[in-house]
Formats: sequence, C-alpha cells, structure tokens
Amino acid sequence: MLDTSKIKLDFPILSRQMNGKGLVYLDNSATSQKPQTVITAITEYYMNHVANVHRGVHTLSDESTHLFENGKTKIAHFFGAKKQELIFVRNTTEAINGVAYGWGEHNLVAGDVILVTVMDHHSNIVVWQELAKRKSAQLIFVGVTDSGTLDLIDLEKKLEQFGEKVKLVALPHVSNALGTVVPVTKVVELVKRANSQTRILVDGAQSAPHIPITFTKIGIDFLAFSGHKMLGPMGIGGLLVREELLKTNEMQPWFFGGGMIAEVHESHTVFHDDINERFVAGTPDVASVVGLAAACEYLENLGMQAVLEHDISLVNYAVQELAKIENVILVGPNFESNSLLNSDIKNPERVGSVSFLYKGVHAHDVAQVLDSQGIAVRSGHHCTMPLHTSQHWIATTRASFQVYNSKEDVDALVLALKKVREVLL
Amino acid sequence: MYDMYHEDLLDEAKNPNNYGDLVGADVTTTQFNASCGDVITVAIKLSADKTKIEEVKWKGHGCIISQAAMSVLSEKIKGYDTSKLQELTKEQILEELGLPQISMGRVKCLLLGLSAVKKIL
Ligand SMILES: Cc1ncc(COP(=O)(O)O)c(C=O)c1O
Repeated sequence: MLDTSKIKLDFPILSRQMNGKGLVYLDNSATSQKPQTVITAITEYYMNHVANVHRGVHTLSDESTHLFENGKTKIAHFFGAKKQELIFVRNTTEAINGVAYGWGEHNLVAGDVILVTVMDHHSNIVVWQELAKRKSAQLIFVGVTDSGTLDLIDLEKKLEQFGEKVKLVALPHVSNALGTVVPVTKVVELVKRANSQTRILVDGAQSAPHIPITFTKIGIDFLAFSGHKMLGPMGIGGLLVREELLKTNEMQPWFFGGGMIAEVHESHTVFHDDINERFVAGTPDVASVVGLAAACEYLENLGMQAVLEHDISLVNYAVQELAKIENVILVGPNFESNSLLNSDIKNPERVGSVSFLYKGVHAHDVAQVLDSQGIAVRSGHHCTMPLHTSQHWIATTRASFQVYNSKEDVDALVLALKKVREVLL
Repeated sequence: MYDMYHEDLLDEAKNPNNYGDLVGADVTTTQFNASCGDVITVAIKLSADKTKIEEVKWKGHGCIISQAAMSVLSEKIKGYDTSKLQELTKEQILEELGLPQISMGRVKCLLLGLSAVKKIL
C-alpha cells in the first residue's frame, strides 16, 4: 500500500472538516482532488508565465510555449503515446464527441453499425445515438453478464452477426458504475479477428487514474480521458488517436479557426501540415495543460504500478468489509459470491470503486446519512441508466478511491453505514 | 448539520398519505428524476367546472425526501384551486416537512412530486 498518511498532506482540501468530522472523500470516480503541486503549477503559470502560445516572438510567449509543449510531451508520455497522437479537449465527453465529428462523420454510411456496451457511461452512448441518427447507422449494445462483466460471448456474436458493417466498437476500460475492468486486449483480439478495419475507441475516464496504459501497444484507435479524474484540473482532457489515422486523414479536424491552418484564402483554407497542429483550433488552455502535466508527474513519482496495487487492495478490502454489513448488497464483479477478488495485478477484475444497494433504503438517503458523518460518496445511477435499467436497480451508492484513500477511510465508511440503519430503519 | 431525518419525516415517507390508485381520475401525470430513476405518478379528480382539485392519489418509488414531499403535497392540494398550483414553492414544501433547508443535490428529490402535479396544468 502507498503511504497515505504522507500522501494526504499533499492534498490541501483533505484537511477540511466536513459536518464536524474530518473529510473522508470517496467520490473519486466523479472527480479527484488535486495535490498542491498541481495547484502551484497553475498559479505559478498565471503569476509568471502568461502569454499566448506559438504566435509570439517575445520572451514571455516563448516561455509559455515551452511550458505548453513540455506539458504535452509529459502527458503523452504518461499514456505511452506519441506526442502527435495527443489532442487536447476539455474532458472525456468532448473527446468522444471529437471522434464522432472528426471520424464518424467521414467514415460512416447508412446501415453501418456502432457497437457499445450496456455498462457504458451516457457520454459513450448519447454521442453515438446522435451520430447514428445523422448517418442512419445502427447503435447496437453488447450485454453485461450476471456477474457484472462484459459479455464477451455476446460481443463475438454481434461481431459475427454484423460483420463488416461494424465500423466502430466503443467501450469503457473500467466501468464507472461497477468498477469492472474490461479485458481490452481480449476485446481487441476479437474485434480485429472479425474485421481488421473496425476501429476501437476506449473510454479511459476511469482507467487513466488507476491503470498504467501504453497507448501504442494495446492496438486500439482512440482513447479518451479526463484530467480531473486523475488529480489534474477540471477543463482539460485528451483524445489519443493512433498516428496512422491522422496521417491518412481518416481522422480529421472537427474544430476550425486560427492556429490549425497553413493558408487562408477567401475561397478556401489549407490546414496545418503538422498532423497534430491541425487539431489545435484557437488558444489552448495552457494553464490546465501545465496542471495536468504536474498531475501526471505526481502519479509517475508514486509509480502507476504502485497506484494500481494500492487501488486493488482498497477495492478488495472494501468488498470484503461491505459484504459483512447486513442489508448491503454489493454489485459488480463477484457480487454473488462476495468472495475475495482475483488480485492478480496483471488482470485485475475490478478497479476504482465499489457500488452497492442498501436493502430498504434509497441510495440518496444512504449518501445523505454518510455525508452527515463527513463521508462523501455518490448516489444515483452514475450516468449509466441503461445498466441500471437492465439490472432493475433504481439507484446505487458508490464509494470510489484515489491514492490518498486508506483502509481507515473504508473503516469509516463501514462504521457510518451501520449508522444508516440506526437513523433510517 | 441539522437532524434531517427526523421522526415525522421518516414516518411521512413510510406511511404516505393518499398513496394508491384513483378510479375515474380526470388527469394522470408522471415525472421522472433523470439522475436516479425515481418516479412519481399523480392521479387527480377535478370538480365539475375543472377549477378545483377534488381527489388526489399517487404512486411511485424514490428516496425518503421525494416520497415524504409528495405525501404532504397530496394533502395540501386537496380542494385547491388549480389556478393556484403554479404558486406552490419549494419553501412551502420544506416547511410542510419541517426542514429548514435542503442541499442543491436534493432539490430535485424534493420537487419531483410538485413537478408531476404542475404538469396537469
Ligand atoms: C466511464 C466514464 N466515461 C465518461 C465520463 C465523462 O467524463 P467527463 O464528465 O469528464 O467528460 C465519465 C465520468 O464520470 C466516466 O466515468
């Protein structure tokens, strides 16, 4: 486990009192807190280095450009991607929209199929519903097994059934509602075996904070992530696009304007000949890039392998302790057996969060009572309404983890959950 | 932190007023809370001249706040002029529930029933 007593000190907000108790922040899947190094990097940029990038000759602009470019290099490196494969966006949602507008609009025709999963976040569903409408394409859902994992047999069946019509498979790396880890390598193998031309988009919103990723090695085409869930600032995220798709123009800019151009004439425009600069329309959010780079550095200093191991121990401990509470019904991988999870670090089954139902009590009421004990969790359907509907859950309560969480935080959760009974039942 | 889940509130949610079906309803409306899947359906019988609410029954599922709020609301609007429904406020429901305030995240729960009722207009 990581030394959380030390790590907690790096996050100023964690010293706050909440309703008379020390804050126990377990809503990290929604957004994570930010370490002082990230906050300082942003303030320092605004205090000393502000200038617009790329276009200025003066020293300050040069400094700003360096900070921006170095930040970009660091972030791309964190994801094991080439720098030119990284396009900055505001968040995962915008990244997925970017694929719809920059790729889907140019590569889909009527009758084509987009495969998503029942456990996808609304961001990875609604975007494709809308694209399917515009293109008269079909949006098909791959199911989830009774034990909360991706139904690979259903995936295979649908790949076979729709054959070459399947142009895109879009799926989460980690489910934000179940914590389920999707075996991406296996999925890539199945998809590419069915049709090597099918593109794969991985929604990395919930994996980027916990799992080491080497984009160039996993064989996917797009990866979307949000900086704010991985200790970085809100308002910055990334879309990684496999270089080949940029070189062949299969993926095209979807925002237009200054910065991304080479020549502008009254009759037409020639876009920037750099395959990445073409995607930078307008002034970028330099401070947030600098902040996200600091977040990547923070995680790298801890070591992503150690971060993952820490997370798996917390998830396992939470599963074990929550299963003991009367009235608590865990959902997600292995929830029937409530047995200890496979803690194989190479193939974790569950990462980031533990969700549960509380017999006889609505999730919002559970969360409200926990809040009165200083514990922040999320309740509702976590933007996964199709999943909740398919499982007939009205709403679930979710505790989700970050590097600063400890087993004591899980103990506090367990203690407070016992209080729910006292207060409400 | 005030003691939000006081005895009366819990009781209101556990034994809600006017819960059930209404035979011969004039209007039935349903309201969903998109963020958690809660739902309330309200059935109303109006006076002959359609200006007054004569009978109210409702059904649904949700958290303590949404259920208790609908329960007190269903009592309040019996015999009410339909023209006055629009004026019902969040503050009035809070008062009925004996709650001094509610967090932003729970406002939707509090107003789920009221939104359903206002839909009859
Ligand atoms: C799996 C998943 N995808 C997408 C998103 C959307 O992220 P953002 O709101 O940062 O765009 C989230 C955030 O909750 C998520 O958990």
